[in-house]
Amino acid sequence: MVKTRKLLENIFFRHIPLLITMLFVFMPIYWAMVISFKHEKDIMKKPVQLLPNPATFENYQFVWSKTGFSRYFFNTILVSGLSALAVVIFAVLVAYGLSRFRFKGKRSFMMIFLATQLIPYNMLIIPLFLIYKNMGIIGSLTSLIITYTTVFLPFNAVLMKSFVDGIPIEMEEAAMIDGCNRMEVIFKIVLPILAPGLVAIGSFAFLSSWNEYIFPVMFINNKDNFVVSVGLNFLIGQNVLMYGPLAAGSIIALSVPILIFAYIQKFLVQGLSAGAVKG
Amino acid sequence: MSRKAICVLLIVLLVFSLTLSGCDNTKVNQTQKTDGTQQTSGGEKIKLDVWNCDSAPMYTDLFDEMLADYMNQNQNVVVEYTGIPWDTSKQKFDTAIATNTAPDLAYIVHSWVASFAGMGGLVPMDNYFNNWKEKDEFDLRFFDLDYLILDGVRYSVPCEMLYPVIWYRPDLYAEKNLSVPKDFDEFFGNIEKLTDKSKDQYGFTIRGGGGSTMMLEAFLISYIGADSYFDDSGQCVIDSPEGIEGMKRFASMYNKYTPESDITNGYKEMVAVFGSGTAASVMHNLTSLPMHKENLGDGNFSTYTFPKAENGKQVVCMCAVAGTAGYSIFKSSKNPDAAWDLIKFLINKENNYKWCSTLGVLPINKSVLEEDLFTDDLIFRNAKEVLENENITITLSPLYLPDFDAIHVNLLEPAFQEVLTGKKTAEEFLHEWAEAFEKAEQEYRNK
Repeated sequence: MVKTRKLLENIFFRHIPLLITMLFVFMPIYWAMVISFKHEKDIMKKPVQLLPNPATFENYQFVWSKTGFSRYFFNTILVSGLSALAVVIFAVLVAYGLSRFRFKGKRSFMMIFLATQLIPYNMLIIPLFLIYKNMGIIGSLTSLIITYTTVFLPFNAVLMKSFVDGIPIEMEEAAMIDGCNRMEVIFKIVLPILAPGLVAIGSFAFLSSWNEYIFPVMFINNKDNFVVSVGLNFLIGQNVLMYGPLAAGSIIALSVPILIFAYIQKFLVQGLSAGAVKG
Repeated sequence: MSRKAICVLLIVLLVFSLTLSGCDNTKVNQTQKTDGTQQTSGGEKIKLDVWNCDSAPMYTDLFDEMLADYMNQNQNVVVEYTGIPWDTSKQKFDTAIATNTAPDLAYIVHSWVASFAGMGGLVPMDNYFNNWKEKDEFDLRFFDLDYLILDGVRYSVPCEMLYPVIWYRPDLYAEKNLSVPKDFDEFFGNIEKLTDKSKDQYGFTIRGGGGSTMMLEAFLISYIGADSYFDDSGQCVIDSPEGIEGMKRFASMYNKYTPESDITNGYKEMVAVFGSGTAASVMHNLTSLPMHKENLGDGNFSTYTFPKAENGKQVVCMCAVAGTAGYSIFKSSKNPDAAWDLIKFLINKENNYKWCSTLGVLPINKSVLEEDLFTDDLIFRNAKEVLENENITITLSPLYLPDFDAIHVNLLEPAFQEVLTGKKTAEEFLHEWAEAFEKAEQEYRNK
């Protein structure tokens, strides 16, 4: 009796809700996947085909070679990777400073730092455009890396601060008593313990950069420097929509974030909940 | 040990900064852009930047071909082409004009000309146009439209023209023994007869999302049979009793003879509903031709022109989503003369044919309009007949108003959805519409 009740509870409160959630989450991805393997003429066909028959790779070939997606993909990895690296380096420095030192204006600094997150990106476009134009870097990937590092740093630095707060200061003091200086303490004690935080923040920054659209579309004119988010929109015209290549491009664009999520999801959850119970 | 740590940090920073410099591979181009020229070993070449407000691959192919031909014929010119994704295209142009980084010339939809000219972003083209020897080869009716010549200054030249049509499925019409409607009663009657909700079959599909009211505008002007958007006293005709009647009839189709999802459907969803066979007819311009061919196959669809209004006039309205589009030269160009030369090349007979036959639009070059494609192909032939039929009036939307786009996008589109859901009456909606345009028109006249 108890066994049956437990089984029913499991089915109704665990398996069915999970199944429904999974359907909601996977349906769009599944559908994009199916369309990406269909011939253009089969996409609109009625009755709807749940599986591509016959399947084709032509959408992937088209999007990869014809629209310059291979180039956009490389650019996106470069921009997202370097932005994430820069965010991690600066976030560690900012977080350590905020966590371990007392200085005048610390609270105000934190407030201003976080307040920058409230500014809509659209408001930044023209000022940043003019600054980069005067610097001679408008249209380059550098302009994107600088922008992403700047706009994603505050949130990630504050997040990193909660990781640093979680490391007992006594550990650093003990290391200093044993003869370590501040740099050695950071590199030998703090950073190894911070590893999950570094991964979480690096991934946040990477994925945020990967998905960002408005800055590249505004700053970049040379198609050699376009990124994936812009490349996908190339397939959506005012009067033309290339469903097959668009679905194939979406799957390619999704592949990197999915792989990253699969690898670091436990760090991400840890990162999001870090400091959640602190007073 | 501490030295080692500092070394590691410095190396990371060095690698990072070197990589940053390394990926800055457009610096040369951007530096060149500021003076508009490019130094080459063979001497000085003129560099022209061409933007297209639409980045769809079919445009890219066309431009690649035409620009390669141009560069072959003009070895001293280097042309760089950039297509801008449509959904952010206007914002991109606005930013470029505001920061003085606009291209030399661009292909733009003509509903933007007033706004760009108002920002001081466009070069007057009167001198170029007046001295253009070949201009008589073109249908000059479409060069002298009031939204291309603002305050007496010409800011753009067209390369294509189109107007709204009703796309329909002749096979479904034949099944129900229906013919092309001669008036709006037959138009609505056909739609009702073609609907069978139990089979998920609808007579019509409405564009309720982005661009909805620009298309609706064309419908209402045809329904009213209006030959101008404003009457002599500056009153907008859209909220006339005929307009209100047309609006009520149009809105009453929603979710009865059209799918429920229409309320948020933009262009692509609307075309997909027609393309999947769910709707028997749809209102759009000629540019959806390639999509219909792809979705339904050649010969499985056709077009008809908006029927006669109750006042006996047959009117087609050239609106923001079904009018002309073409080329403008931007103020930031350092080579406007070269830009004009390229524009002439892009709209010459050969290229105008290439352009129009690929995109499914009507040419503005008179001899191209007489090519076999435009006289033999049913869709083009129907479209051409409208241009030649003296009994059909072509009415223009007031695209010359700088606020035209903003009124539609910010005010009318959300309000139209309220009408469809019954939260707003047709009268309220059209009065708001008329009021907004009358105010904009008054401001324009008083300028």
